[in-house]
Amino acid sequence: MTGPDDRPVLTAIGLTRRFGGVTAVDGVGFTVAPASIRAVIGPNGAGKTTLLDLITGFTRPDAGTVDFLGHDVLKLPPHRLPAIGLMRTFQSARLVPRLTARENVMLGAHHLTRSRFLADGLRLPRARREQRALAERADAVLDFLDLRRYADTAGADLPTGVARLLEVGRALAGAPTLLLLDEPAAGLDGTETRELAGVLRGVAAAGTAIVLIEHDVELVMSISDEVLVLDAGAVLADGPPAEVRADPAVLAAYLGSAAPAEEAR
Amino acid sequence: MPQVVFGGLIDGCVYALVAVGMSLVYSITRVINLAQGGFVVLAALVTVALQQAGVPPLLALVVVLVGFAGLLAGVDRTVLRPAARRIGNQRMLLVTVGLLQAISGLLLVVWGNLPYTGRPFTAGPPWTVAPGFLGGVTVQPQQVWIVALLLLAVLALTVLLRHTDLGLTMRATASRPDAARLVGVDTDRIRLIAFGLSGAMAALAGAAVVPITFLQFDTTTSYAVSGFVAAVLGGLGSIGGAVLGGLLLGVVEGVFSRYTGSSLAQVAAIVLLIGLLLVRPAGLLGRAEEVRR
Amino acid sequence: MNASPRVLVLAVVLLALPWLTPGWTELLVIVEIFLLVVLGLDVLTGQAGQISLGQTLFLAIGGYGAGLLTVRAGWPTWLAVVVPALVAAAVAAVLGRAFLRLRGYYLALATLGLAVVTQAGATGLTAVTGGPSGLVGVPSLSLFGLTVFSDRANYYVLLVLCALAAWFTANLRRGQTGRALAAVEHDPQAAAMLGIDPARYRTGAFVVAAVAASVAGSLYAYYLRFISPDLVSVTVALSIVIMLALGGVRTVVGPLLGVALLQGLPLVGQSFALWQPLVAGLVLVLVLTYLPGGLWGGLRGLLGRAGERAGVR
Repeated sequence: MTGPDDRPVLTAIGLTRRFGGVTAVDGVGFTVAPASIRAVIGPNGAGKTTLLDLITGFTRPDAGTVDFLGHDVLKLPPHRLPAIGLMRTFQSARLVPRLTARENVMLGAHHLTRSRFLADGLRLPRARREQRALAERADAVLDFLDLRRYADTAGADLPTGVARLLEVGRALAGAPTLLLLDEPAAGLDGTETRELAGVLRGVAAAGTAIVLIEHDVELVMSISDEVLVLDAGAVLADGPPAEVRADPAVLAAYLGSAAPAEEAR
Repeated sequence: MPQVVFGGLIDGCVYALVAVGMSLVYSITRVINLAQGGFVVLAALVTVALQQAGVPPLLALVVVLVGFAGLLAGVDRTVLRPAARRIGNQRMLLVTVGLLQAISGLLLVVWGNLPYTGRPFTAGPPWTVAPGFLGGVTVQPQQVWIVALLLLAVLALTVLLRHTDLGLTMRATASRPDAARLVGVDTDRIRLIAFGLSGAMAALAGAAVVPITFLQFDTTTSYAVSGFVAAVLGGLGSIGGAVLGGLLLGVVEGVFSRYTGSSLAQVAAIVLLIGLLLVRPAGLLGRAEEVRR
Repeated sequence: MNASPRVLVLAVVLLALPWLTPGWTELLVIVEIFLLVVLGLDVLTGQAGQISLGQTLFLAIGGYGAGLLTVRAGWPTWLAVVVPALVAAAVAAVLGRAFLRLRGYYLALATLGLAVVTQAGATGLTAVTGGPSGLVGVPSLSLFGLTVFSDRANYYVLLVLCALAAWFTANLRRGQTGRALAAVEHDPQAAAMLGIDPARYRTGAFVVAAVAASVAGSLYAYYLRFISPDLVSVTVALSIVIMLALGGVRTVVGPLLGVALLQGLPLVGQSFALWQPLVAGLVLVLVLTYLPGGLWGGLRGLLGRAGERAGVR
């Protein structure tokens, strides 16, 4: 549906991670199709964030492989991932408080820059060109998110909702092939969440695949192409939203309580 | 050679006393108090002043011990605790550097830049132990005092920490400060006690060492460094580790100084310790996860 | 547009300073030497958030390097600045890789270790360093056939170097490197996820700090015409950190304030020299506790508030 090459951008097989006696992630495997949104849901402690940490190299898995566009991701240090097209955000916004919104977004495109200490310190023409290009790129992202008015506000002074959106924007500035988002809607109100949903659909339509870890079941069901349900570290169900929603195991274990069932109807 | 190792062990006992004081404060506050080195020299020079005023050495020791327990509790109350409320641990380390500098400055103002030494606690001739073994070891009575005071201090602290309710509370505060506060522990009081104890350690170290060495306003830094090194070497927050770290540092310095002169011995000791830190980052008796990022 | 007249005024004042304050030029030169060191350290501490209590190692590499290469080997003085600076950069690159993985206290300890090693090495390696009495007979700096001998000549050479260092570090701060360093300081894990290698950037900042200190050390030796362990003691290492913390990080004025205060205080009067360490220590404790941005940060906050109030009226 996205062109001639439908091979998945990311393939995880048998990912396992134990902490002491607890198996936080237990033989999890899944794929992410190009330009699609793949949601990962599950109750607290189901191993969702650990799964992202495994893929991005913050935690070493006890078993399993992750292939991203032919790269063995588990062999790369985290800072090499953006250059091959893999970026992520964190559960809590981690913008740099003393930099402005624009500067924070500029950081997202860091792997596309080449000037370092000498070029920057001496303000070589190359560094100045890069600087201009970066600023333009950041402004384009701010415009896309409709946050241009915050461009010169310090990260420390941004409202929570704006900061969360900006963190997604910061990752977008790096033009990733795959974007891993860890609960981007946490702390957003209804309007902001709808705004975020629109942004994510637009991002996927423009060709960036997304792995979305999320608590907000409504958001997940409305925008995802495929949903992976984790429970106690293991895969409970995997498929398109409609299928997952109808899965008796999911209904029993995860949507069993009244409120989520209401949402799922 | 036995004499060299023995001399190193005695220096090591003094480092251990400094390191135990730092380690105690660290375990409660997570701050390394580099000013401890300054308090050691201050205690030493106050001891000398008391002796010169005619106070018998052992009485002077007791006076300094009690006085410095109060002094450090006071310093925590007026300087360090208010600072810790406002700033992070990295900045707190610099605050203690400032305090160390201020104490050196105070010493310079009051005592000038001359070196001082004191009278031993008890008079008596040195005696030689095991003269048949490589020349044996000559022991000064004051060196026996140093060893005895270290043993006594460690014993007292162990009893306090392991066998009293206060010790239990202190250990609980050390491992889980937030939880301790939640269950109603007055952590400010625990801080004060930790600083009081570390003041007593500084007093012991200073009063005990000054009869066998010369101290002046700028020897503060070297005690701060040695105590810090010993505390980290043993694993921060562990009393036994601090003692072990101090003794090891003393012996390494002593043995090297035999062959290279005292300043290069310090280089060798520090290089060895930094190497050890990089290979075994948690120190001899510490846990690893706190050290690296 | 309105920045250039200000820069011009500043330049004129700085150029005229040795003539405006006769008798103070010696102090000005010393202030410049330490300003160079502190500006470099600001990249590491202010921008990358890493403590180094051991900058005297690089001061010593520059000072003893310049002294030995000119006195023993007869090298031209400028080359004896450049080569030690490169050595300092290499040493910092190697040490940085090993040390900057360590957390707060352990890093502080390791760098404090460098300061101890430096002082003890300078004192103990008598055959190389001349021991406690130091290395004497160091020549003055020669540039383009001119000998930089007088206080004023040294002032101008160092003025150029300090201006270069201020320009370089300000460029870093405003450029992508500065943003990357800010990200590393605030949250190394999140920075890594943006493609920034924290170890590499910390090490880079350490190298910048080392080169600045080394050049300053070389010029220190040329100016005093000797170099001795007293100039690279642990006390000096701590006072370098104190200067930065006192003045405030990530500016040029902050370090200048810190250095001028610490170096200038003893000159207030003979009797005051005795009180200087005590006062400096107490001031440092107060500034660290109550002024998060250092003296200059506090001053700026005050000026800003006053300006706002004036603006409202």
